[in-house]
Amino acid sequence: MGLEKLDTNGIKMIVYADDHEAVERATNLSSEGPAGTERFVVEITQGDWQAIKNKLHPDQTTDQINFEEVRVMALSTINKIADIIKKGDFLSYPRVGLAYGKSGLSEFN
Amino acid sequence: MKYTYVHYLSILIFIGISCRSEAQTVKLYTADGDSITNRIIDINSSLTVKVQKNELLPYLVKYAKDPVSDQLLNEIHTLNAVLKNQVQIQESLSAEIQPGHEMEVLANYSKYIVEFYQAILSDPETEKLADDIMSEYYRLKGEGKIDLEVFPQSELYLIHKLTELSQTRKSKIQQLESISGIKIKLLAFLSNKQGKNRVHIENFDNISNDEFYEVERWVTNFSEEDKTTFENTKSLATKLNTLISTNGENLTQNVLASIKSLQCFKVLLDTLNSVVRDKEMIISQNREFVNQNLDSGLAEMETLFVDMKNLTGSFESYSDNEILFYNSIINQATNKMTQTLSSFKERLHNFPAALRNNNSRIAGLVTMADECTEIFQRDVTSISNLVSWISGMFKPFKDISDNSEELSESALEFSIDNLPESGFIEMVSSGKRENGDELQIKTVFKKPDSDDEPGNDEVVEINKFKLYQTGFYSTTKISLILAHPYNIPELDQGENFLETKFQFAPAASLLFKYGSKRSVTYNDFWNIGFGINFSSPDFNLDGQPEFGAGLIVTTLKDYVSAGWSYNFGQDVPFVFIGLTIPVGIPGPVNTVQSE
Repeated sequence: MGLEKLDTNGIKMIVYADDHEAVERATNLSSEGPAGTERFVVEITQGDWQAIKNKLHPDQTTDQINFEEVRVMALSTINKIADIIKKGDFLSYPRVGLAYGKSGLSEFN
Repeated sequence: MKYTYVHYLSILIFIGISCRSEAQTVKLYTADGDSITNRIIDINSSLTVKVQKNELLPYLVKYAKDPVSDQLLNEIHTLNAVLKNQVQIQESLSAEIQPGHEMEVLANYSKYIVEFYQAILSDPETEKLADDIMSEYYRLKGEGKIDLEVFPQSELYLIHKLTELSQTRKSKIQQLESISGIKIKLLAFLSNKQGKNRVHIENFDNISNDEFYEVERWVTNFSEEDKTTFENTKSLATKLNTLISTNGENLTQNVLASIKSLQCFKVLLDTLNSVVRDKEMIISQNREFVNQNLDSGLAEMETLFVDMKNLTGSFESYSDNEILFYNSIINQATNKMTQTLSSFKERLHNFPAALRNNNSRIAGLVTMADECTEIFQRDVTSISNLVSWISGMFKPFKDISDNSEELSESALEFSIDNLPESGFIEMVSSGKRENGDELQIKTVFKKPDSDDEPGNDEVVEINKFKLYQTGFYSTTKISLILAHPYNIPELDQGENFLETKFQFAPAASLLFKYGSKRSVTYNDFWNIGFGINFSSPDFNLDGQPEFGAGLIVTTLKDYVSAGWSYNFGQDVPFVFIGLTIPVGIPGPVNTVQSE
């Protein structure tokens, strides 16, 4: 499933494996960004959220997050949640690009 | 090869139109290619005027009032807002990363790319457009149709495409008839207290250069103008010292003392009266004609004498300041007296030649009339000089002549398509200049003439630059100092030495200064100078100025100065404060004698 990528030091984009539109955009954009920082696409199923929560940064609170509504989640290199694209949002390359960009901001790393 | 796409993109960087409110339609560059950003230019510089066509476009659209161009301009502004960080993004993507600095580079890139995408997402149409472009990129990449050396990343491809779109819209605006028909002119002016004169911009007008004038950096001699100013300052000092010594006695008394024609007219009138009284004995031929002219002449001279007395009376009754308001009255009075005198002299000269040449009393009258006329002319000059001098004290700057606008016709007209990229200004060919003068560059639009109305010039932007000598330089300054002697030998105190604490004296200084390239406030306000001061006080009051030399510090554009000096004639040191009169001191002051 690729959850082991959550143990790496790169930026992670969590997408549902059956959301082809999201997978395609996240995968294409994973080859971009500045050198020195890897980008990983983590393909999951609905039941993986608990395992993901366990991998988040210890300071990361999740009380306010409704995981049922999440379509794409961007994690920083230290697994802080940097951005969430909700189900029903228009998913475009710029929107996914923004999520990757936010994951790289210093406040999340 | 790594930098290929960076180079490629660099070409496209500045195609967009700026959204900045302070955008200028022209920018100035020095001969070295440095941009002038703080509006200070060297007084002798050679300048390149670069027209910012992108910045001109919003002005043209606003001026044209065309909805199509408005819409296109809005689209350009949206694209430019997206593209504002394009340079930083491409630099981050091409940065060579040192081990341990990965997070630093990531944070830098992320900051700009987040702004980039947020700007795209702020407009749904732009988001859709960007999504299509990036989809196209990956499709072409899959088909092997993308040059990956130029566009290794979709974000660079997106930037390139958005820049192209901006350029396309810009071209569309320029091709609109409402825009291409607007004529654009660039006019330069040198503005100072003497007035405003056109300055030639090569490529933009047909006017010829003004006189060549280079402001010397290292001045070591006092100019002829300095010498004249020094002499005039000397006269002013004498006058002020007289005022001090007479406890401020009215300045006009000095003038009254120098009006000699009143006395001459009195003698002339007495002589004329005696001639009229004895006319039966004196005149034997043409008696009727001569008698009539003598009577009329006497009446004229009596009027003239009364007018003269009234005029001098007005001097006695009004203060110095009030003289200003009687300038026109004085002019009228002197004109009337000149006419009367001229008429009187004409009567005498119309007398038969035999009478004029052979009759000693008539001949004496003619000679005396000529002499009085000459003296009167000198008095008139003296009076008008006094009035204009005092007027000048209260009206520091003469009316600025501004006929430069009339010359705007000589400016060349261009459309946005054929507007030259650059113009050139040689400041040394723009006539006489001083520190603090202003170079103005006006951008002017003109709509084409139509059947309804002719196209009129409209100034859409004025860029102002201040001219200064920059860096270190020397200059001369003539000023009036208030000298205070101290350590006066007891022997010198008394009748042969200054009784007041201060004495006015003219002074000339050779000053060293620094002109800032960055601060107008420093150049226009503080403007500190230091140097050598030469003065000519008259501490022993013998009317012969002594020689003083010392050190001086000036500030506030030399209006205020202070220093220490030594009177070599009297062997007395003195301190002084200096004042520069902020107006030109006219030469005629020295026609007024204080003694």
